[in-house]
Amino acid sequence: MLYNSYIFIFLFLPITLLGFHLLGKKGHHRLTIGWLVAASLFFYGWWNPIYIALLVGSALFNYAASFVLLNKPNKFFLSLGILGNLGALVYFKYANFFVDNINILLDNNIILEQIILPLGISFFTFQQITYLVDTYLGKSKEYDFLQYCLFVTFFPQLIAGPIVHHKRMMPQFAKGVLEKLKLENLAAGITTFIIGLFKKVVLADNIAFFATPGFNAAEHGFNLTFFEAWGAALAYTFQLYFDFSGYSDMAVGLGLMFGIALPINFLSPFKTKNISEFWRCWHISLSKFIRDYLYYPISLSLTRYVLNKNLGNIGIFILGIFTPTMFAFFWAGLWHGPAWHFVLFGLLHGTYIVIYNIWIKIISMIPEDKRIKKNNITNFIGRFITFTAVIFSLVIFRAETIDGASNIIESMLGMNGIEFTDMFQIGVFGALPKTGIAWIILSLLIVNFLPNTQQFILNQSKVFINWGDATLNELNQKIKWKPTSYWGIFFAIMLTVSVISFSGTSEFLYFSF
Amino acid sequence: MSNDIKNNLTDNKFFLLYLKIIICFFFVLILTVALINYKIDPEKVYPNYFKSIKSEELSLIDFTEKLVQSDNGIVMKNYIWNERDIFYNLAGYPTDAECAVLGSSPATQISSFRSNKSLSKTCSSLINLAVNGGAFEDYIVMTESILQNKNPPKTIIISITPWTLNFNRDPRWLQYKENFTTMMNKIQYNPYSASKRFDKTDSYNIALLKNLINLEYFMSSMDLLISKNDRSIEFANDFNHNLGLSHSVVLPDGSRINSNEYIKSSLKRKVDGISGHQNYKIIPGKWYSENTIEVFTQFVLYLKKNFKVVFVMIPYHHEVWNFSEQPVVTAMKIVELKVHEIAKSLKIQVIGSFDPKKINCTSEEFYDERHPKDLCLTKLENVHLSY
Repeated sequence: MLYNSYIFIFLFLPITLLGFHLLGKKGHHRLTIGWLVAASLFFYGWWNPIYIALLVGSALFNYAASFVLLNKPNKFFLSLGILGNLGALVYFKYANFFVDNINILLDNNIILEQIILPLGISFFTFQQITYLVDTYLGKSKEYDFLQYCLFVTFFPQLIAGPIVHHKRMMPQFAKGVLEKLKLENLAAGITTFIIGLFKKVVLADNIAFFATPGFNAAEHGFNLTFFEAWGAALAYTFQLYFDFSGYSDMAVGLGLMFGIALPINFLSPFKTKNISEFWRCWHISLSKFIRDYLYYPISLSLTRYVLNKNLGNIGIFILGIFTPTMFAFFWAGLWHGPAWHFVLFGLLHGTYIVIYNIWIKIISMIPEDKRIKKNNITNFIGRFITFTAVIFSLVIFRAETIDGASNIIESMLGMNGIEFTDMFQIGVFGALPKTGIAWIILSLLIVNFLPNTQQFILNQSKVFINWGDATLNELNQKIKWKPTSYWGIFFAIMLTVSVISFSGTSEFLYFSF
Repeated sequence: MSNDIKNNLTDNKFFLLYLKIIICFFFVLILTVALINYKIDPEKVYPNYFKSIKSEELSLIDFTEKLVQSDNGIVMKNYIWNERDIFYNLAGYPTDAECAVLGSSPATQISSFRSNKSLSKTCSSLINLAVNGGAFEDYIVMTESILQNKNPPKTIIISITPWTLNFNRDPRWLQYKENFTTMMNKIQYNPYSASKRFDKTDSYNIALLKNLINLEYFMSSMDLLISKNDRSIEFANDFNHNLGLSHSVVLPDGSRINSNEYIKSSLKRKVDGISGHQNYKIIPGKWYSENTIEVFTQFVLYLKKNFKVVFVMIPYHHEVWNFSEQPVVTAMKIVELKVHEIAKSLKIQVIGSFDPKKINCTSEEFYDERHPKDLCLTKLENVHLSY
């Protein structure tokens, strides 16, 4: 079931909230949790009921594994647990990818039946691996089974994240914490949900019309014009951002309605002034997971090794920074999907981070009084470079093949010439160039000048826990949400516009052929 | 009462009011949109309960009469009537036309009225009953109306698209569900009850319900509302068919001329074969269904008792064919073979092809990926095969 569907908005959500409220009001804590688990399974099964078994099986397996690890923390059981999780993930998400590559390498023709990827498998697998690792390290305790099930299945974060951590989630399910609906949470939650819904349905879905044709054409060998390539790349950048951050906002909003704080996943990433800051503001829950469970352990052990062996600065750079960064970003790329262009996307960002680290090192060698002071111009240059670097990486992320990506990038670099007549020819951009440009300008204004959801609303909410790096964003915003009539009317209009945009084209208008 | 509790109660009042405003306003706004869409109903798809009909509005019969008798057709300036209503009525209107064309949007330009006459070797004159998104079910409905025509055409031209040989590719025919059932009974398609097998009323009603809160439909309703619900008709003066007028025009034979804006934008737009709507209604792997072919065969056999039947295939743009891995290209190849197979078994003449090279249509003779211009349509008969 999608958040942006009639069934979710008009039936599933009101019924789930009502059941939660009635049970919570009477103090039936376990029943309340059971209700949320049942609702979440129904939500998941709406797509394909068979995969409920996979989700429940995964929760049972990991709960049993954690039980063993709590009583006898040993590496064998941990490895078994992790392998079980990764085995399912590899089978469903990466099996075809591996077989295809083996076929290419060994010139084989092994054919694997097409495996349908269960929704959200990457999210609930990683959440549970985290739990197993922490249990092994003695950083977690035994949880109530029903509460554990809710941790795994809680519908707002089940399909598209954010990736949640048991240490943050489980205390929120405790008796006396998870209670009936609270008006304050409901108000903040609904508002956050509406913002996310609007981002997804109105902004992302409309901008997508201008991105997709350009990428499709490039994929099939068309040489886009310089402006078409930039138009498609910018449109996709904003489409992805509004889509993903919209979905995350909806998830956070839904969690808030039930009084549960989910981590914020995006903090105005396009306002960031360098690539390191960007990754602290873009898909924050994934970045944190990769950093805490991949980058830090590898970096620490390699740095120790370098120091023990006295390998010097170059050794520290190669083993302490370069290797763990590239390794972490390799997996971050592959996490997005079983394709080489995702790996390339990850490696490119790894390279960006390494270059940034070198730059910081160079700057640190200049005496402080001789460095250029940070000002609006340096900030602008930093933002511009970061944003441009991200656009190029997202072209690789979006393109279906490396050839398609290089085709667009060549055009963006002017290698196919820059013509000022017939700037846009392909697809919707070709038919409606002014509308396409207007959408891009509007998106630029939104991402650069409007506060993000955390600044605008969540800082006002008592339930909200700041999971991101709050210091990255100025929190004193002029535009702040308050539960006033004006804001109420404004958000009612936003919700209406979003809901009437659900079905897109009317199939009853005669020109809709 | 402590200050904390007092503050909480005050806070709660604000939050409650805020939530009430959001929920109430949302439902009021949604209901307003639904009401406007229902009341204005640009395409007249909703039943007439609670609706007042303006006295100056033409009845469908009057409209059809005025259209057929007009010199240059009618400008579709406003939403006059639902498209299917217009052509269902035109199908039953007695004219001297030799042929009737059943089809979807690519066939709407087939004309015997324009200077570039299409299918001129097959028909001296024709009425074009093609509708946008026209599915096989629409053909059955239109035929039911033709059968009631006191002076019916002698030839039925069935324009087949790469998705015609499937049921349920468009729900709009369901407004004529009863006529569909009547026709199905006439063709005696009876291993099962036709009405049971094809009754998709539920999905149609749900589609209508969703359409009540559809933004695009709402914009059209607002257009109409701003023009004070002006549904009066405007006759076209003599005009250049290659340039069009401010709005699309229905010519006296039912064929259509696109609006000037559409023609101009199609001239500017580069057709690349990839980024358009070439895969419209194509479901990969479901190129045709045996069940549909069974009904289609029965349908043609029934028509053959009273009419000459001709199959027509209209080409897609060259660029679409250049990307052979696209679903639509597979669909075209498979369906074209199937059409010839059916034609051979039923001894039906086949005109045209999905492949523009076979017909000698040039790239410039297309508006977009799957809509040829009149010049290309005049060449359809370059490829014809009589079985």
